[in-house]
This record gives sequence, structure tokens and C-alpha cells, in this order.
Amino acid sequence: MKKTYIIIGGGTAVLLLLAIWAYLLIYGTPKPVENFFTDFSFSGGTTDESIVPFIPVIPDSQVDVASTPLRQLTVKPVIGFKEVPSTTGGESVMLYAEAGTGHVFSINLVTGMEVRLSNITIPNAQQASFNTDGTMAAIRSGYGSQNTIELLKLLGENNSTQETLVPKMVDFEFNSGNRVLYTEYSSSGMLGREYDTETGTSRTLFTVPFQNVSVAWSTNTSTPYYVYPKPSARLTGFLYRIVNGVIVREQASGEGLTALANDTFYIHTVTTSQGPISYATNRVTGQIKKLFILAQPDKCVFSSTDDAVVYCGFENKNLTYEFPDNWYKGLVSFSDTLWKFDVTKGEATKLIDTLKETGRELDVIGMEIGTENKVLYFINKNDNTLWMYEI
Amino acid sequence: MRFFAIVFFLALLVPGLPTSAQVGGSITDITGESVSIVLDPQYPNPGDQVTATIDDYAFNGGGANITWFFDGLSAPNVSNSRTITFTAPAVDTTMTIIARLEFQNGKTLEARRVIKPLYLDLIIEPQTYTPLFYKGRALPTKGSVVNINALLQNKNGPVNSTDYSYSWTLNNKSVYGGARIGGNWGQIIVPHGQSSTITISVQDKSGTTVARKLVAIPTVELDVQLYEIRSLLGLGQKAISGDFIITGNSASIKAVPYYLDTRAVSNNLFTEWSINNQPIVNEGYDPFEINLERGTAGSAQIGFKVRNLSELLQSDETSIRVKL
Repeated sequence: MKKTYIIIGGGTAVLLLLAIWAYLLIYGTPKPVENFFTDFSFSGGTTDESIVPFIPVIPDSQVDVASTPLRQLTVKPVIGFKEVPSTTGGESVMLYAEAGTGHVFSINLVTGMEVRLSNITIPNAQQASFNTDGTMAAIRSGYGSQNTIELLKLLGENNSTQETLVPKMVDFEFNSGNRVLYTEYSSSGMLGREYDTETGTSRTLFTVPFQNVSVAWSTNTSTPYYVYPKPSARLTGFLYRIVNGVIVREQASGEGLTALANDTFYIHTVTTSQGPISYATNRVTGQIKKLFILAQPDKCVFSSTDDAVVYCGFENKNLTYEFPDNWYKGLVSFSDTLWKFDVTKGEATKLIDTLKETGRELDVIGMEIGTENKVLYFINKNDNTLWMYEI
Repeated sequence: MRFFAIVFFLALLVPGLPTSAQVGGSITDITGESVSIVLDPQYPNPGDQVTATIDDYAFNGGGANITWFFDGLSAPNVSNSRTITFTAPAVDTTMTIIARLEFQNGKTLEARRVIKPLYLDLIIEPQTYTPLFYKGRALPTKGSVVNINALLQNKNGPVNSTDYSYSWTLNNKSVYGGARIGGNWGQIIVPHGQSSTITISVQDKSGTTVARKLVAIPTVELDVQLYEIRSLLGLGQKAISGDFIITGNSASIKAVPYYLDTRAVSNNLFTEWSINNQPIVNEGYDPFEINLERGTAGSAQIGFKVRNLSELLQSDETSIRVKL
């Protein structure tokens, strides 16, 4: 009988041990004792700590500037922007003006922090230009013939002043200093003028004997201004260089003519029966080369370190004889690939297919190059958002 | 007396000396044979490709050796060619072209042509409407006004127009009654038809034609496009095509009549909005804008018509489908 009890007791102990082993195998080792046993508060007790899951908080005022070479800088629609390098060794910032409100924001291009510099509302803000050091912005208010140009002086975060400029500016852009280059109608055509923001006075730079003028402004003293009649695929345009205040004809002409230029080259695009074609002319040698890509001035920018290099947004698309008219009307849009083209060597390098990279159609306009020639900035014409691409 | 009569009759038999014009370039010999050089284009722009053809219609110049000279230098590879192609020189640069025909009987004829290319640009500026954001040039519609600026330029830029006289024709009919000194600016009313041809000739003070240009001015139809107006952002720059979806409680749409005669923009216009082909009364102050209030569900066809009552052929209509 005793032997039976011993066997039963031993078997029970073995089964118990096996059960404990199975429990530990499934549920793991137990936590510290005090987490399991009731605390009767004999010595102050312990309280349960609530477990708060960690959720990273992303500030609203921060832009993702670090993830991929091609990235979107704004969700807000933009009407003008400027990269402003730091003069004190700090980070560069990107200034931009918001469409519709004219509010001016600054994005730190290293940290991504965004601050508002101007909360002055410019009604129906349509177009903006900043000066080189980012202390002033000229913004067009209104989209009709009664529009005005407002000058903002940016004095710090949410601190700016506003004045309405007197001249009736048709087209405007800041030069490399604090002067606004602009065109103004005259009785015999168009005047190219310069407005001094410090003195409030203007002087005439050149005269054009017709009114429908497109200007390829130059913001440095070595590149001349170019003017041409506003483009239409149905009308012939002619390219003129400004010399001593008057127009001098260049050889480029053709229907739908547009042009951009630097010290050494000018690139002009004309509409032909085979569609638009771009040509690069070396002003020094007179050599003319047909380009592989379409180089529209709105979509391209010259390199700041190599005169022969131009960066463009371009989609290899079958364009009709109505280009660029239908693009200007907003009837046609592009999904551009960014290209680098060397006009001397005739070499084209594909940088990035924006559609494949982002899944979105980016119609590049207003392309600018960063001060260290390492970054391209542009606006997407489809929604006016601001983008950057690290070259 | 007999002596003088004999001398007189003998003089009639002496061949006449060949004469030539400095510009125009035809050579005539005593037998009446003449050869000239015809250029195409007749007044080339600097750098243009030009075709030069020998015109010897008055006699059969076949069988002659032909040699071409450019500024006194013989042109290689074009010997015995009756038609050659060359590049016009730079602006304000003179080039003398000579074609020399040497016949087997030893006779030689030369034709000379002197060219001095100048730029003559006709800047066409139709006075029709385009919106402020539009970066292109307006186009002419039937009955609209077109300003034309004839810019004659030498190597220093535009010339003083008062040093020249300008003759204009529109579809081969003289405009302004003839040549005008300093008349380098013109204005026409676009006639009916697919295009109009403007020709302008420019003469210097000696009456020599220095440039001539012909240009066809296209005639287009009025083109209405619809754009969304956003209360904050203003006029959108992407034309609405196909379906337009109202996402908020209301939406505003503006009709932009590209190429409408600017004289008609402020008056003498017929405009009409319609919903599902039913004309509606638009109570807004701008006849080109319509405000749409959101309903409960469904879609509607929104249409717009515009007509210039002074020029009935300037009209257009368009429509879109609006959805919720």
C-alpha cells in the first residue's frame, strides 16, 4: 500500500513538473514578483504603471528634406521661390510665396523647419519674385488688367512691411541686387526698366518697338537681355539681343519662337511641321547645333558653373503644331523627366524619371539651380507645388 | 556730204557696247541677247539659303561654259550649273555674284547681281484678347484688328524709318494708296478667308528696293476655354476639359474667350450660360463667370456661348459636364 502511494505521489509530481515546463515553454519566464502578487499596501504599495505606446510626433512645421534626391518641398501652391544661401555659415533656406495669399515662408533646407516670414495677405497673389538675399519680395495681386505689384520687405518671422509699386509692370523680376527689372507699355511699344527699391525711382534700360514682348532677363552683368515677340505656333517670332538699349537681331527666327540664354549660348525653340525643335547657338563661334531634347525656357536652366550645360524637364511626347499655345492655355500638360544636356558635346544624360520616382505627373516650370550647382528647384505646373532634385 | 553719209551708215553697223545695271544684273549685247541672275528669295535675310538661276530667256545660252564668281572668286564645284545654292552673307555685308557665259564662238556674256541682306521683320500683333496669365501671343480672328510693325535692321539695329519709304499690299491690293516715307507701321482689319497675305517693300532714298517681305497672316476661330476660379487662389490656369467635379459647397467657373476682338470685350457682346441646354439668367456682375451651388446628387451639362455682335463670325461655344 505504501509503495502505491509513493508511486502515485511521484507520478503526480512528475506531471506537475511537466505542466510547469509546458507553461514556461508557452508563456515564457515570469516577470518580477511584485508584478504578480497583490500588494496589500503594508509599506506604501506599488501602483500599476500604465504602458503608453511610443508614437513619434511629426511637427507640422517640418519639411522632409532628407529622404530622396527628388522630393516635394511644399503642399501649398507656390507662385515664386528663392534659395537663399546663408551668409553666416549656417544652413541655406528656401523662401517661397504661397499662391492666393502671398504669405511668405522659409524652409531650412537642412532641418526642414518651416517658418512664416510674412502673414500680410496679398489678395489673389499670382506671381512672385525674391531678391538675392531674401529680404524683399515683389508679388502680383490680381489676375485681371487692374492688377498691382506689391513689394514686401521681410524683416523677420511674421514681421514684414508692404507697399504698392507705382509703375504698371507687365513682367517683373528682381535682378542680382535690390532692383526690380520690369517691362512697361509705351505708346510705341514696350520699355524695359529697372526700379530701385531704395529710392523708389525707375530708369529705362531698353526700348522695344512692339508690345507683345517676352523678355529673357539676365540677372548678371555679363549676359545680355534678349527679347522676342510672345510666341505662337501660328506666328513667326524673331530673337533680339539688347545692345546699348536697342534691339539687335540675332539669326534665330521661326514660328513659336522662345529662347533662353547665358554668356556664351542661346537656345531657341521653334515649332515646325515635325513639332517643336530646339537649337543651341554659340554666340562666340556662331556654331548652331540641333538639340536632342526640347528646351523650353520655362522648363530649363543653365548650369551656373558650365556655360555649355543646361538642365531641362522634358517629356518625349508627340506634340502637335499647336505647341506652345495649347500648353500655355492649360490644355496640354507634361510628365517630365529631368535631363542634363551638354550643348557642346551633344550629350544628354537622363537624371530622373519623375513619374516613375513619384507616381505623379510633374510638369516642370520655373526651374532654378541652387547656388552651389548641386540642386535643381522647380514648380509642378499641375498643382503649383515646389520640388527639389539633388543633382 | 557723201563722206558724212557713208560714215553715218558705217556707224550703224558698229556693235553697241554692253551695258549693265549694278543691281538687277542683266547684260545686254548689241544683238539684244540678255542674261540675268534670278534670286530666290529675291531679297534674302542674312544667312538664308539662296538659289541663283541664270535667266537667258532671250536666247539659247546652251552650250556655253558657265562660271560663277562670288566677290571675284570663282566658286568651285558649280561650273556649268545653271542653278546654284549659296548662303547669303551677314547683315549689311555686300556680296557680288557674277555668272559668266563663255560661248564656243568666243563670245562672253556676264550677269551680275549685288546683294546686301538686311533684316526685314514683320511683327504681327493681333488686337484680340488673351488672359493675363497667358504667355503666348494673341491670334487674329475675322474682322479683328492687326497691328503690323515692319522692322528694317542693319548691323547696328533698327534703321531710322524716315530714311526709307514703305509700300504695303494686302492680298495684292495696295494699302495706304502707295509708298509712305517712314510708314513702317500698319494696321489692317482681317478680311474673311483662311489667311491674308501682307507684302511690304522698302525703298531707300534713291528709290532702290532694299528689302521685300511677304507674310501670310492666319485667321483663327474664337476659342472659349473654361477655368475654375478658386476664392483664395484666383483664376486657375488649367483648362477644364471633360468632367468637372464640385468638391465643396459651390464652385465658380470663368469662360475665357481667347482671340475675341478687344473692341468687343466691353460692349456689343452676346453671352449666355446654360444648364442642361436651358439658358439661365446669370445675375453676377461678370457675364463670363458663373457660380454653381452644390445640389444633392447627379450631374449637369454647363454650357457657355459668346458672340461678337459687331462681327458675327467671331463666336464660339463650349460645354462641360459638372458632377458631384
